Amino acid sequence: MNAPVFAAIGLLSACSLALELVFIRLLSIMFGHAFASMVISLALLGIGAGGIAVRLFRDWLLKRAQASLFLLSVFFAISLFLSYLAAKQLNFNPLAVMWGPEPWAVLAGTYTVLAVPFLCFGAVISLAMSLESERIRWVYGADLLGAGLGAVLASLALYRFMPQACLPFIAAAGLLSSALFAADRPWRMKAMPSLLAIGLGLLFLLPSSAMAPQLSEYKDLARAKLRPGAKTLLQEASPHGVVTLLASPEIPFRFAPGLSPVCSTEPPEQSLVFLNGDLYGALPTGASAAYSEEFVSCLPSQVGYELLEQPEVLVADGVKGLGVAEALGRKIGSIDVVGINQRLLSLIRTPEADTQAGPGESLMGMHTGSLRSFVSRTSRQYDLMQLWSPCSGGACLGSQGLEEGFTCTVQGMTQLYRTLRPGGLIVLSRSLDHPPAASLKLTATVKDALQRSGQSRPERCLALFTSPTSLTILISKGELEASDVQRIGSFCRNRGFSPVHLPGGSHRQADSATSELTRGVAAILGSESESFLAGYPYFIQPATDDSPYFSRFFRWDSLPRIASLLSSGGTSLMQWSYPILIAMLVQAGLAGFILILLPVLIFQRKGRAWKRSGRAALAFVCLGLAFLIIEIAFIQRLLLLVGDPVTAISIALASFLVFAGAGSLSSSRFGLGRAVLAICLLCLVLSAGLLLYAPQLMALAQGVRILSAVAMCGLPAFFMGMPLPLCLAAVSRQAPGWIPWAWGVNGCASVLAPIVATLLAIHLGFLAMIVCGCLCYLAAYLCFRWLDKPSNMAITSGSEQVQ
Amino acid sequence: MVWNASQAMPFQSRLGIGRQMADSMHAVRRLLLLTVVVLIVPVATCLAAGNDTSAQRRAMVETIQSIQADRPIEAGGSIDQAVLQALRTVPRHEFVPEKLKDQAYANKPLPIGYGQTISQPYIVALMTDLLELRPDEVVFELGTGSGYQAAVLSCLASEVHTMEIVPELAETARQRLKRLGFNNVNVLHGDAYFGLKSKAPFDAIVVTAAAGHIPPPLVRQLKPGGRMVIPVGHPFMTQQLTLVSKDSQGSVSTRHLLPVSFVPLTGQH
Repeated sequence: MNAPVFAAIGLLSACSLALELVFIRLLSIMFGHAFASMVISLALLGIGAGGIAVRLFRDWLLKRAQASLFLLSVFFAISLFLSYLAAKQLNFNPLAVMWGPEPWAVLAGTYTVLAVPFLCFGAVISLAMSLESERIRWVYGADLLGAGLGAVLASLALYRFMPQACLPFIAAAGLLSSALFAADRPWRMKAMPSLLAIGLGLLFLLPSSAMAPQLSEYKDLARAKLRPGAKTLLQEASPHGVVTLLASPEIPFRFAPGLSPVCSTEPPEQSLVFLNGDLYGALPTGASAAYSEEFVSCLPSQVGYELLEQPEVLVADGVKGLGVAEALGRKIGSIDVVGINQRLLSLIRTPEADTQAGPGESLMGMHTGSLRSFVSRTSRQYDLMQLWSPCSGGACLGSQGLEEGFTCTVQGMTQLYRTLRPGGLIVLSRSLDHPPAASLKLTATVKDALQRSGQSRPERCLALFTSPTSLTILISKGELEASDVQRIGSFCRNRGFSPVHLPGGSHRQADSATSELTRGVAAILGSESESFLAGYPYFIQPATDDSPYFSRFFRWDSLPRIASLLSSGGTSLMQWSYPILIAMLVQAGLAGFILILLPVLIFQRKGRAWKRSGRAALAFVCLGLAFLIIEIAFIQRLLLLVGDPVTAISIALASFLVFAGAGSLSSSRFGLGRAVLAICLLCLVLSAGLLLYAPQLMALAQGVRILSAVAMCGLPAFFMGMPLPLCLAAVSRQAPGWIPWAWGVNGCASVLAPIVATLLAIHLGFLAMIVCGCLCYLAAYLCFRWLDKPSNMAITSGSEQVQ
Repeated sequence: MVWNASQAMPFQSRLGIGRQMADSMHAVRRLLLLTVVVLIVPVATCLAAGNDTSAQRRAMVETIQSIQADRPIEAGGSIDQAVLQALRTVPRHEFVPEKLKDQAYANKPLPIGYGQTISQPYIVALMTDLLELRPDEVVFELGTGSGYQAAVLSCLASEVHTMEIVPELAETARQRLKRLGFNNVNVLHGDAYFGLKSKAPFDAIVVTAAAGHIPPPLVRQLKPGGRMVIPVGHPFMTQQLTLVSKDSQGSVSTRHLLPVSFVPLTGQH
């Protein structure tokens, strides 16, 4: 093979990774993020299946190698459209999965159709490896470098373009790669991609609705659009998803979470903000950028303004909930707004804020980034911090996902508390959950953070109360005084809110609405906290930076009790995201097992078995798991270091792939043993550094943090790019026909790895992930030493038969 | 059925019957006739509707009875027999799309289009039961959907006013309820946030489309002693119920109820 062919491999890898990112965005809009990850995870089995398919038809394909590569990449380009359109047609409804088998059949169909382009890609790579068994490191290097390039380009494209608009570009690049595969073929073959490219160009002429993701009719946006006269004011791509602004002049939207049931003012005119079709917050649509004082005084989150005079305010995620417009409804000294989504922040209008400021000065500051990252760097202190639902999770446990987040950890809350002035307040509001899980976990986390900040009587710094639909936690820098407690009590009484905890215990429980919550909060703030947390049927131990999964509530020991109630209306008692994760692991494991075992059995029957296939399978499974477990662990740390998740994931993906690609190309200079040793040492040293010096690293300037992130990923990634090509080279020496199979096994393990990594992160934490990753590399090394010994082919640089 | 004068008077005034007429025997006869028409006929309609599926309805109610043992004590123990009778009589299959008719009596929610579902029968039973309706009471429902909940309520109350924001759903439900003879259900299309001032106050209110808060105008339209039920959760997982009660002094209190008995604090795992 020549240079254009390696370029074609790199280009097709770029397309495959870009397609993966675009599909995740499209499926998040259509099905929600949890199912998007699930579908993509299993669709990626297509890569493994492609390897197995090449193993099955190897001889036939090798005879027609160039034509096969050409046609497979053409199929990739065509199938990515067809599979997306087919998935749209199947119209999977994730909400219905617990009510019958039909949605599961649709889900299986969706997996299958989405796997097709990845199968074509997997077949191309494994066929290329079979052709170039002596230059595998070049094939793998081109694959990784291309994937790194694809990650960067797709991330940049998704900043600016709607995800469906990226599909024709990916298809066009796929066709370009097919043209490169056919560089030395007759003109007819060269002409075909050009004709297809023209055909694809026609797709740009299709109405935008034809390619737009099929929004589930149960999504918030779809339901809001049903209002007569509802109109979309804005729909744009943003780094974190598609932002939609919707107005309904005929029947106004009335978004007012936690509004007092005795409020005499109706919510003002609003537009709703949606992110990927899910309701995110609301903005005022009238002439004013602020809500009226009369209206905002009915909201539970306004308690801070009852206790503070003209506070300097920090609002997290200024569009979420009622956001900045709510703060601007009161007299404030100044306001800083922090949010990770710049596009959402740009929707906030500021005229009234500026009229409160003096000439030539603005009292509003906008800061893009995570709240944790902002408070790590700022030297300012605030009187009041307003946070609406900073930790994920709604009123029903059943719908809560499992995402990392560094605001609602003990360390995160401690940093927020440090940024308060003496006498300042943090006001946290969220949906009221029943049975209480997130509310109690948040209370436990805040209590730990207060103790860590030197408050010996944390219960005296806290006040909690509920509206019929929300919980508000007020955290004071210093103990609350009796007069403050009285004012909070009066604030609640006048608005029909129920106190849950007030220092001094002087409150009267208004009704039984929150009795379980009240008892739980009392237990957490009291002396029996530890036994209460340990005995509670949900996992409500405080989240920490090491395992930053605030929204993990699932406990195995509660499962039998909850399972017995599922058929009688108890589905909301189960946190479904955790069993779905386990189901994904089982499903991916089964599919992978079949893909690995079936070909082995077929070939054993035909008498063409490779005796060492078991050992080799173990080694390639370990390699697949190790690479991704370590990569995901570093991505998680980068979320904390860089702040913005999209930037963190893009940097980590690109750095890992590009540096691993470079490592693959240089693998002949290193032995497997040396590479594994370097990986283990670097990972352990860097992860220890990340844990010990996290606050110092987070305080660095943005550019320095990004460079540090690239270096931290790049160093281990360089060596992590070596083991796979070295092991594949060993297979090519012993059983060259089994290279596609090995590639497929590695691909299947890569599908399992993200799920295994998430489970490790949830239960054992970051350091354990790194240790497990290193152990997998060591296991792979031992398998290959054992594998290579009988033929006296030590896998070292000196003995490798690579050119 | 007990029907005394103190209950009848507001009912008469709603029907526009003059005070003078009520004094005469003739008027009493007319009143009785009207009572029969307004109260008995819908019940008879309920009883007569869809005899061929009555076995399925009975089985559905048996399922509900078999799982109500898990109902939390704070939600009032077992479901009232009148509510179960209403579920036995309303032809649920008439309220689901044609292709899902065979699943109409399964204890699960079903999609009806426009991002809405017909609720799980067990949840319908619980919500209706929490309202503790008497035959002379007037109910307001925010979010008509298929009209099934309104039909069940109509078997237990004197009047049901239901408002739907999606015009197509409102029209379909109106025609369906009329065809099935639920004549004491008034289906309206429009913005239900402000309730229905012309028919307020209400003895009971059902809110099936809550958006983060309880609409204060609806709280104001609830009679002293009235009850409001709000299911919480997405369309396929409506599993938490909020009960708002207004006492005789007009004070409002809220309770959050699970359909099953699950008391986390006892830690019985």
